[in-house]
Amino acid sequence: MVDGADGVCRAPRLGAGRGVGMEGLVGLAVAVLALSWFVRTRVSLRARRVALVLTLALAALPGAYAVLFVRADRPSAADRAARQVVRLHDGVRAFAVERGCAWLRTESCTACVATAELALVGLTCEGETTQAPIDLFTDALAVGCAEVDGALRCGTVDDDARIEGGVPMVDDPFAREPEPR
Amino acid sequence: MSVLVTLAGFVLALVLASALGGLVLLRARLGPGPLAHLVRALLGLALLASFHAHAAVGLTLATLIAAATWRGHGLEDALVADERKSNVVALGAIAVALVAIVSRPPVPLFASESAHVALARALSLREVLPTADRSLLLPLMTSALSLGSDATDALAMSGSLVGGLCFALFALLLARSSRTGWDEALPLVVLASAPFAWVLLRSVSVELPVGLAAGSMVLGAERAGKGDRLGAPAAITAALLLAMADEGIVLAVAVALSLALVPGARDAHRAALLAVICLGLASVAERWGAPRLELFDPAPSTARELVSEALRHVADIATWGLVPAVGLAALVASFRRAAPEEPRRLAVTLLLTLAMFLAALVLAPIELRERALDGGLLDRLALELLPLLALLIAEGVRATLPSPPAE
Repeated sequence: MVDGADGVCRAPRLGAGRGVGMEGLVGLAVAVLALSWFVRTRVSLRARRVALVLTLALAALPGAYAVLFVRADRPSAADRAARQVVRLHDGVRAFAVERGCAWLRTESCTACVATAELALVGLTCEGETTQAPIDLFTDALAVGCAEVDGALRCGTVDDDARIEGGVPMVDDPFAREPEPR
Repeated sequence: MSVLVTLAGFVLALVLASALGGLVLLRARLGPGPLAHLVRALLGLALLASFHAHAAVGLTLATLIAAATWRGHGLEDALVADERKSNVVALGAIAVALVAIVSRPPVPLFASESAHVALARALSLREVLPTADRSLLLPLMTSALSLGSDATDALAMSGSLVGGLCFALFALLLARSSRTGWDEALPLVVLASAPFAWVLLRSVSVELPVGLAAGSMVLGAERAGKGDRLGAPAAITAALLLAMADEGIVLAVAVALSLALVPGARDAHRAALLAVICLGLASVAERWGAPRLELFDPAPSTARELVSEALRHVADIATWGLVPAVGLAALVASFRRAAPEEPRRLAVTLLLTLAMFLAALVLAPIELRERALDGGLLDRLALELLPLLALLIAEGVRATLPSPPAE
């Protein structure tokens, strides 16, 4: 969800300047070919246009395949992903409405934080409070939310993530920000 | 809320926005037709941000635009219709885009979508906004088009349809500027050949709308240069839409500069300059009083790394197809001595924008640079250049043919 709109399916987030490789060479070769095509005045306009459309259409096929069949928001999976997001959103908002306000205590699920913040618009507790905490664990989208001991627990407790990611303990009501690594 | 109810509210909001825009363009004599109605509606929506900043700013801007377009001059609509018999291609493309948008579940799936929809919901609920680190234009338009609803589905769909409206403006201006169906279709084919465009077209985002607005500003200014009375209002409206993103002003300045620097644009640069002034006024008004950000943290040594990262991004065939490669060829070809001014002007716009983007990133706070080097920014900036690149490629195809091009 977080990276879904950046790149079509595989542009890696990390690794500046690495891995231009084969695709870069292909692009460069096509650029040179297209340039020589553009500057040849003997080629008719119709032939240029047809060649351009065919080249671009063929090159778009891998990306179109990713958009239609691979990505998390592909048509066949978009409804399921949307249902999960709506379930999380509605759960968080209903919990906050019932208590007047709520706040995010655990933010292990990076993909869920934006959805929870959307749900909490106008309902975020101001100042230090121990009331109505919300815990977002890594599998919150898949598992959904349930009230446990006055808190809204979304997902299951992930001890590994809490230790490795420096996520605050669930029973520490004042720890609102993760500790820096 | 059902899709049909949301769409009905959307249409009603468009009519209201069209009334506001029509009031400002009362004496512009735009005439009938889908493009004229769309320009009025988008102008009405774009002015919302200025009125939201302060009523006096909105009134000033509206007065300036009304004065600049008073008694619009140029061709009668009949003459334009003689040049170009139909805009079937554009209307077909708009229909496809709208179906693609509406067929996606109206739920914010990406983090950036949620952030925009959250701001729109806060505006609908009249909540105190959090520290605004982004323009409010898209959230304002989203809230207005959902008639002030705070329902997630209505806001998400209205936000996505803003992109559809920007696409419609681009496609209809393209149809008005084209002499043949091929001229009209080719830039749209190039756009559709970048799979990333499909992803963001169907989501609540600013990048594709901003890119389409930049392309529309070019087309509108060129129409103004040819005496089309719809040209200047369309260019101004497109420029105001560029305020959706902070970097929109960069695109607007690049368009105006290229029109002024490359000869042959006649009066187009005046329309573009006027559009930039309107955008500048709107942007300053919107951000007036916002917390001052740390603007400068120069790191010239990162320029090479940024360029390298940008190349890595645009080389990704799954994301972009071969549009960047063909665009590079068109860009080089446009600087040949025999090439006409139109593609050269577009090439200069693109180069100026790239240079300003690079300079901005080199001078920017470290957080922004890290985001760029982390892979979460450059693809989106590149998308803002895609419509200009599409226009350049379409022009480049015939750039070296003996004029007039044989059809």
